[in-house]
Amino acid sequence: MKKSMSLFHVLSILLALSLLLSACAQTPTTEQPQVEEPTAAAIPDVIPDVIKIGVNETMTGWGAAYGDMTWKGIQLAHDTKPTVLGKPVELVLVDNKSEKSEAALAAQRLVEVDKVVGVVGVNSSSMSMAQNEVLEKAKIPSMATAATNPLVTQGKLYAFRAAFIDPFQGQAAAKFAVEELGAKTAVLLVDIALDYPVGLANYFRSNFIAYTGDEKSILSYQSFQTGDRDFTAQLTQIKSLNPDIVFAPNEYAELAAILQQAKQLGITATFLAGDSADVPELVQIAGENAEGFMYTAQFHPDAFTHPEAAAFVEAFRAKYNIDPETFSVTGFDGYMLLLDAIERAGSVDPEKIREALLQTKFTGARGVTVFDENHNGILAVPVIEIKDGKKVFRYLVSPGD
Amino acid sequence: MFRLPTRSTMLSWGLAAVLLLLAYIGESALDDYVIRILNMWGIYVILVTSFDLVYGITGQFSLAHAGLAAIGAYTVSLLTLPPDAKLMSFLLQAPHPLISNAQWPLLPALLLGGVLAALVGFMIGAPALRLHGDYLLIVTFGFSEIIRLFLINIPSITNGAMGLKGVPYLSGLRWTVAAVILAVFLTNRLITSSYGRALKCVREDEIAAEAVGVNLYRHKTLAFVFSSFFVGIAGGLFAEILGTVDPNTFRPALTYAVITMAILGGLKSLTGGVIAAGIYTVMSELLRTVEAPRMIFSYNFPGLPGLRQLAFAVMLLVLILFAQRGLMGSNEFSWDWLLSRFKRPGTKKEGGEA
Amino acid sequence: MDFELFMQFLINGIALGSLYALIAIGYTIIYGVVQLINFAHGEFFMVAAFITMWGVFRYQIPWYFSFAIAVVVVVGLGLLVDRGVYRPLREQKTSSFIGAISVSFLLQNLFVVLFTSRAKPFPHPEILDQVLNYGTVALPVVNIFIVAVSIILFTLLFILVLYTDVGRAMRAISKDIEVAQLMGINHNRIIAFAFILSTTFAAVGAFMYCSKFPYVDPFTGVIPGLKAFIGAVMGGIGSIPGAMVGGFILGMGEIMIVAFFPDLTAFRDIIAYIILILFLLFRPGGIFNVRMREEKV
Repeated sequence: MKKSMSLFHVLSILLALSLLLSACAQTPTTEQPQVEEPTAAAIPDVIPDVIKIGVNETMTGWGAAYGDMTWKGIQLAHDTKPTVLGKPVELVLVDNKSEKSEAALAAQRLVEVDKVVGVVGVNSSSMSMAQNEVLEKAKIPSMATAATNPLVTQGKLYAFRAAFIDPFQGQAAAKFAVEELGAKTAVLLVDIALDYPVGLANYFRSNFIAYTGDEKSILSYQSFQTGDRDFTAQLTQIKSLNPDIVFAPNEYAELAAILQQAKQLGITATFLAGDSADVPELVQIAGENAEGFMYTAQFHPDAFTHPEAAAFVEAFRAKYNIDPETFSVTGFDGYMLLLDAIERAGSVDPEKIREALLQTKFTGARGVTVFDENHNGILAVPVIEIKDGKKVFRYLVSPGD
Repeated sequence: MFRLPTRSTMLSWGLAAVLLLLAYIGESALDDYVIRILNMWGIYVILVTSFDLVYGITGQFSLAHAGLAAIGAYTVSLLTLPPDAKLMSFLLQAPHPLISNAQWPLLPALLLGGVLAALVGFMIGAPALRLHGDYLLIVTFGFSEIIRLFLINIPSITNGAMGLKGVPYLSGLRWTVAAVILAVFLTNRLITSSYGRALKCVREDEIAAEAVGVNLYRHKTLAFVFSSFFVGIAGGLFAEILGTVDPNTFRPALTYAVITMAILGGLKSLTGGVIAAGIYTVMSELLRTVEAPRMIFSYNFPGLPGLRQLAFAVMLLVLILFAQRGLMGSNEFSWDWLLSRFKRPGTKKEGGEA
Repeated sequence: MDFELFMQFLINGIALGSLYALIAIGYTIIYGVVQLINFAHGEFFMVAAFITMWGVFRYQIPWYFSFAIAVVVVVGLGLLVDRGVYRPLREQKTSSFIGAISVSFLLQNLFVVLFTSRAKPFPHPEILDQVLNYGTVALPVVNIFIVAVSIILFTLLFILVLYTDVGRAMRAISKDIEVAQLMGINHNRIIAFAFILSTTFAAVGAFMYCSKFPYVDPFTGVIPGLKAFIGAVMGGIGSIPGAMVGGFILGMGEIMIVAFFPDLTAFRDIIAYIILILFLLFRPGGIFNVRMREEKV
C-alpha cells in the first residue's frame, strides 16, 4: 500500500516536471530579445570618470608563465598610456586558473561587476573562446593577446586579437623551413591534448606539403599528451626516419625536455616550434641543448626597426630588466590597440569602439597593425634561432609573402 | 488506493513552482553575472546530489563524474550546434556524417545526453560495483580518464583537443532550476522510499542486507545509472552556459571539486549538498578579490594568484579531520521542521536554490 | 626494425621503467602496512624536487647538500601527514582517501602560491648530461645512474624487509595487524617507519626523474605519481616485487608501444587504464596475485 503511494508520487512529479520542461522548451525564441536588452545598457556618450579595462589572464594553472608575461606587457602599456579620453584608465585583473569555466565566469564578472568597457586577453585560445562567448553576448569589445587559434574571433562581432593566427604562423614556419633551410622532409611531434599544438601542426603540415610540392614530405606524426616527459621513444622513431625538420609546437617546458632528449639521442634535424616557445625558461631549462633550435614568434627586438618598437623595447628593459617576448608584446599591443580605438571612437559605446577597431591603423611595437576581415592582426612573423644561449633574429615572413 | 497528498508534499510542490517562477523572473531581472553564478550553483547541486546518491546508497565513492559530465556536454553541444558552425570549427577532420547535419532542440538533446551518460554509467557500474572500497575508486577514476582521452582521440566527432565553440545558448536559469528540482526530488525519493531504505541498509551492512534478500548488486547498479543520468544532464547544461567545451574541461579536478562540496555539505544530506554547492560557487567568486593585485595605501600589493584553491584545499582537510559531518551531517530539511521553527520567533532561513 | 634501433628503445624503456618502479615502491610500502592509497605520494615527490631546486638556486648550496635537506624535509613532512592526517582517519576508508586527496591539493596549491606554477630548471650534476655512444645507439649517463641507484635501493629494501626486525614487523602487520599487535609490535611505530621509507623513495625518485627530465613545477608529481600508481596496482598493490615489476612493465610498455605500434601512441594511456581496470576486475591481486589481510567489516 505504502510502496505504491510513493511510486505514484514519483511518477506524478516526473510527469509534472516534464510538462514544465517542455513548456520551457517552447518559449526561448520569443523571449530572447527581452533578455538581451538590459545587458546592453552601457549608456553611450557618457564617459565614466574612470575607464576600466578588464584583463582576463591565466595567472595560475598550466598557463601561468604565459599569463604572467602578458600581464607584464599590459602593465607597461598602462604606464605608457594611463589615460584615454582625458580620463584615467584602471586595469582590472582577473585570474582564470587556465580553466574554461573560470575564464567565462571571470569575463562575466568583468562585465557585470566591474563594468569594463573592453577586455584585453586571454593569451590562450581555449580560454579566449570561453571568454568571447560571454563578451559577445554582452557586446563588450575584446582584444585577445597571443591566442592564435582562428576560432577565437571567427563569427564574433566584438572579438579582435593583437596577434597573427595559426594558419599564417604555420605557413611562415613551412616557408622558412623550405625556402630558407632548404628542408625536404619533416616530422611532427605534437601534444594532442592541447588545441594549440594540434592546430598549428595541422597548418604546418598542409603548408609544408604545398611548399615542397611533395605529398610524402611529412614522414610521420608522432604524438604525446600533456604531462608526458619522456619523449625518447618518439624521438628514437624520428631519428630512424632522419628528417630535415622536426616541427614540435608544444609548451615551453615540454619543448625543453624534447630538445634535451633529442640531443642525447644524437638527432641532427632542426627543431622548429611556434610562439609558445618564446619563454625565457625554455633556454634556462634546455641549456646547451637549445642551440640551433628555431621558432616562429610574435616579436624580436631586432625584427622591427621602427622607433615605436625601439621605444617599447627600451621601456620594457628599463621596467623589468629583461627582454620583451611574444606574450608581453601582445599584451602591450593589445592594450594599446584597444585604447587607440577608444580614443578614435571618442566614446565608450561598444558599437563605436567596434567601428573604430575595424578602422584600426595603429603603429604598435610590431609596426603598423591592421585587422583582417576576421579581426585578426595582419602582422609579420619573425623566426628566432637560439645561438650561444641567446635569442637571435633569423628571418622575417611578412604578410602576403 | 488514492490518498490526498500530505501537507509536506503540497508544500514541496509549492516550493518547486515558486522556484521556477523566480527563475523565470530572475532571467530578465538579474544581471548576467548573477545568473551565471546561479546557473553554476544549480549545476553543482545536480552533480553533488548525484554524488550523494551513489554514496548514500552504496557507501562508496565514484570518481567518474568528470567523464560522465563530458558525455552529456558533448552530446548537447554536438546536437545543438548548427551544421554550418560545425563545418567551420572542425579544422582537423570533416565532421562525421552522423553528427554533421544534426540540429536538435535542447530538450531532446539534453535528455539524450543524460541517457547516453546513463548508458556509459551502466557500462562502468556493472563491472565496477562488484568491487569494494578502494578498487571502485580506481576503476571509476580510470573510466573517467578513458572517456576524456577518447574525446581527444576521435577528432571526426569531437574535434579533438580543439573542442567545440559557439554552442547556442538555448537553456537558461529556468532549465537549470527545473533540472535541479527534478534531480533533488527524485534522488530524495529514491533514498527515502522503501526501496531506498533497502539500499541504505546496503550501506550500513552489506552482508546482513544480502541475508534478508536484498539484491545488492542490482540496487547499486540502478543507483549508479540514475546518478549518471543526472551527471549527464548537468554536463549538458554546463556546455550550454559555457558555450564551448573541450576535453581539458573534464579533467579529474572537476570531480574533486564535487567531492569538496559533498563533504562540506555532509555526505548523507542532500540539503547540505545544496547549501555547500552554493557556498563553493559564491566563495570562489568572493575570494577572487583577495587574489587580485591592488593598491593598499601606497604599497602596490601584487596579489596572490592561487589563493582560492589553497583555501578550498585547507577547508577540505579541516573538514575531514575535525568536522566529518559537514554542515548538515545526515539531517535533511523538512517542512515539519521549518513549520515548527516558524511557530516560534527567530526563524532560520533555509538555503533554497534561487 | 634493426638491432641497434631495438637496443635504443630497450635503453629508453629500462630507464623509464626503473623510474616508475622506484616511485611505485612508495605506494606499495604504505599500502602494505596501512591499506591506504597514499594519493599524496606524487606531491611528496614534487616537494622533494622543489626543495632541491630551491636550495641550489636561491641559496647557492651544492646540489647534494640541497638534496639531503630535501630528503629530511620530505621525510618530516611524511611523518607529519601520517601523524596529523592519516592516523586520525585510519579506521575510516573513505575519509582517509579524502584526507589523502586534500593533502595532495594542499601541497600543490601551496607551492603554486609560494613559487608560482612556472616551470623552473632542475639542478643536477654535470656528469648526468653526458652521453655514451655505441654506433648509433646512445646511452645517456643519467640512464645508467637511474638503473644503478634503483638496483642498489631495491637490494637494500629487500635486505631490510627480509632480514631485519623492522622488516619482519612490517610483513607481520601486512598479514594480520591484530596478531602482530598481540606479538608486541607497536604498529604506529612501524607505520611511521613505512612512511620514512616511502618518502625517501619519493625523494630519490624525484631527484632522478628531474635529472632526466630537467624541470620542476608544482604539478611535477601528478603524472609520474599516477603512472607509478597504475604500475603498483598492476603488480599487486602491497607487494614490493609486484610494484617493481608492475612499474617496470608500464614504463617499458609505454616505450614499446611507440616502437612497435606507432599508430597506437595516442592511445597508450587509454590502454594503460584498460589494463588497470581489467586487472582490478579479474585479478585484483595483480600480476603477483597478492592477498592482503581482509578488512574486518
